[in-house]
Amino acid sequence: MTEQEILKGCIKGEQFAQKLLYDRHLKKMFGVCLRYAKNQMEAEDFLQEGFIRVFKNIKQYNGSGSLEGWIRRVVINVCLEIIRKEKTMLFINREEYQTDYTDNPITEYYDTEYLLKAIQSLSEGYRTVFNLYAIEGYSHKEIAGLLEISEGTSKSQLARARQLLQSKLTMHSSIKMNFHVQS
Amino acid sequence: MSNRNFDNSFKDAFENFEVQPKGDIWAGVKKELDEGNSKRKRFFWLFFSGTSAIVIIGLLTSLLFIEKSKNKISTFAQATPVQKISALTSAAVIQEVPGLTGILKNKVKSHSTPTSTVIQDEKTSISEQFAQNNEPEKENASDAKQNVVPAENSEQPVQASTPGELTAAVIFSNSTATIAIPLITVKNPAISTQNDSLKIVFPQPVYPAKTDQEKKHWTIGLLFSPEYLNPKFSSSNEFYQTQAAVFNSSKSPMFSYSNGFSVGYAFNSHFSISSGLLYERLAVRSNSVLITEDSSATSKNTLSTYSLSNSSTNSSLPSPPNGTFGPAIVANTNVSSLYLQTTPSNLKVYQVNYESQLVMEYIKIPLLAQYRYQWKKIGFAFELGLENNILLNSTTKVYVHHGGYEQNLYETNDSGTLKKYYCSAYSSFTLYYYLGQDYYLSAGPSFSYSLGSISNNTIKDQAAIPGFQLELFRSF
Repeated sequence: MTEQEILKGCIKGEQFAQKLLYDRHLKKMFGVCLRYAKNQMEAEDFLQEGFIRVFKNIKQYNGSGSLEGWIRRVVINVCLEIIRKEKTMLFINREEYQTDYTDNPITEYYDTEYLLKAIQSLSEGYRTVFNLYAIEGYSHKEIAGLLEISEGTSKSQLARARQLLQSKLTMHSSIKMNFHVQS
Repeated sequence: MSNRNFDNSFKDAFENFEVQPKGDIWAGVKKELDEGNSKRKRFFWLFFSGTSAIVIIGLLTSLLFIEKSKNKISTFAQATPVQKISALTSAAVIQEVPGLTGILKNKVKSHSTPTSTVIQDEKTSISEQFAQNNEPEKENASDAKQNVVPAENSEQPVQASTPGELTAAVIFSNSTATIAIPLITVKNPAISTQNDSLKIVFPQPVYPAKTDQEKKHWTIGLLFSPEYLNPKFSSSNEFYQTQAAVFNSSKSPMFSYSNGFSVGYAFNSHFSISSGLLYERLAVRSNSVLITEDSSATSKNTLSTYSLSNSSTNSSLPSPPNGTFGPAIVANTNVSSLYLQTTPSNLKVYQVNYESQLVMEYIKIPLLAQYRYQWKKIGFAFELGLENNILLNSTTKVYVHHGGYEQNLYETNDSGTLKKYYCSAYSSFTLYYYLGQDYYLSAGPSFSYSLGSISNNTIKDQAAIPGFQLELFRSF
C-alpha cells in the first residue's frame, strides 16, 4: 500500500490505514518524544496524544512537504502543549550552575542512547529549548513565541543547556578514553 | 568545538533515531479515536434533532397563527356580531368584541336580572340605541355611511351606527345592586339589526392595526446589549498552534457590552432594513502561571530578578520596598519584570500568577435585514446581516499575584496589534411588545462572529460574541 493510499484511507477514517501509518512512523516519533520527555513513560503519553492529534487533523495535511515531516511537527507541538499545560517548565534567568565550559572534542566517543540520557537529565526548560533550536532547527524568535518567553531567555537557556551537556559528555568521553587506554 | 558543530553532532545523531516503545500505544490511540467518533455521531444527532424540532415548532406555530387569523376574520365577518334581542333584556348574554385582529369574548358569569351588556359614555344606553335601530332608515343613515366599518362577505348592509365611544363591560346584577366591569373601549362602533337580532361592528383602533403599521415606515431605537467576548485563537503556522491553544484554555470572560441607537425602514409589515451607530466595549482576561526557582536563596533578603516576558533589560527596575518581610513583588511599569525577595525561611521556588486583561473599544455600524411577525401586542423579529467594526482603542493590563500581593505590573496600548477595521456576521432573534403610542420594547439573544481575524498577529483571533439585545424603539 502506497503512502498516498494510506493517507486517503486515514482521511476517510479507515482504521486499517490508520494502523499502517502508525506502524510506519511509530519508532521514529517515539525517538522524538523521548527527547522532550523526562522518561520512557512520559514519552509514551506524548506519543499516544501525538498520534491521536495526527489522525484527527490528517485532513489538514495539504501535501506540501513530506508526510513524515508533518507528523513530526504535530507530535512536537503536542509535546510542547502537554508540557505547557502541566506548567512544570522552569525558566531561570540567573546564574545557577558554575560548570566550566570545556572545548574538548567528544564526537567519536558518545552513542545516541547516552546523548538521549544527557538531554533527558536537563531541566525541562533547558531540554525544550535545546531540542527546538539544536535539533529541530527553530530560531530563537520562533522559540520565544512558542514558549512565551523572551528571545534573551531562549538564548541563555540554550547556552546553559550546551554548557551542561558539554560537561556531561566530556566526563563520559574521558571515562571511555581511559577505558580504551587501559584495554 | 563550535556551537554549530556541537548542535549538528546532536542533530545528526538523532536524525534517524528510532526506538520501539514498550507499552501498547495503539490500544490507547484506537480507544480515543473510537470515543471521538461516537461523540461526533451523538453530537450530530443531538444537533440534527434539536434543529429539526425548532424548525417544526416554528412552522407549526406560524401555520397556527395564520389559521387563527383567517378564522377570526371570517367569524367576525359572517356570524359573530348577531345577537338575539331578547339577550339584552333577559337571561345570559354573550357579547363578542373584536380586538386587535381577533375577538374578545365576554361571558356573564352570574346574574339574576341583567339590564345591559354595554355601557355607552355618551349617556345613551344600548337599549336606547337599539330602539333607534328599529327604525334604521331614518336620521342615522347618513352617519352610518361615515362611521361604519363594513364586514367582509356580510350579506346585510349596516343600518345604523353610534358615534362616540362605546365601552363593553360585564354586568353583574341582582335585585339590590349592579356591578359593571369595563373591558374595552372603542370609538365609533356601528350597530345594525337583522330581523330580531342586533349586530355590532367595532372598528379596530385600540391596538396598531396592520394597515396603520404599514403606513409607518420608519423606526428609531435605543439599544443596549450585554455581551461576552469569546475569542478563538488559531494559527495555520504550526509554530504557533501550541501558543494559540494555551490562550484558548486560559481565557475567562469579563463584562462586555454595546450600546447606541438604530434606524430602520420597513417595506411592509414583515420586512425591513436597519442600521445605526453603536459603541462596543469588549474585554477578556487570561491567566498564566510562572514557576521559577532561586537555588541560591541561602540568606534572607537576597534580591533576585525574574522576567515575566519580553524583558530585555533589568537596569531600570526600581528598588524593593524597605522593610519588606517575605516574598515581595516590585513591578516596574515600563519593564515587564519583577523582583522577588527571598524569605527568612529561604524559599527557593516561586509560583507567580499573572493575569492579562485585554480591553478593546469599537464603533459599530450594522447593516441588517429584518423579518418580523406581529400578533396582537406581541411579535417576534429575526435579524441577519453584517456589522462594520472600527477600532477606537485597545489596552492590555497585566497584574501579578504573589504571596498575598496584587499589583498592576504594566499597562500598554496595543491598538497596533489589532486590525483597524473588521467585519462580522450578525444575527438576532428577539421578542417584542407594543407599549402603546407607537413604542415597542424588544429583547432576545444575539450572536456575531468576525469574518476573519481581528488581529494583525500571526496568531489569528476570531471573535465570537454572544449577547442579549434590549431595544426600545418607536415607529413613525
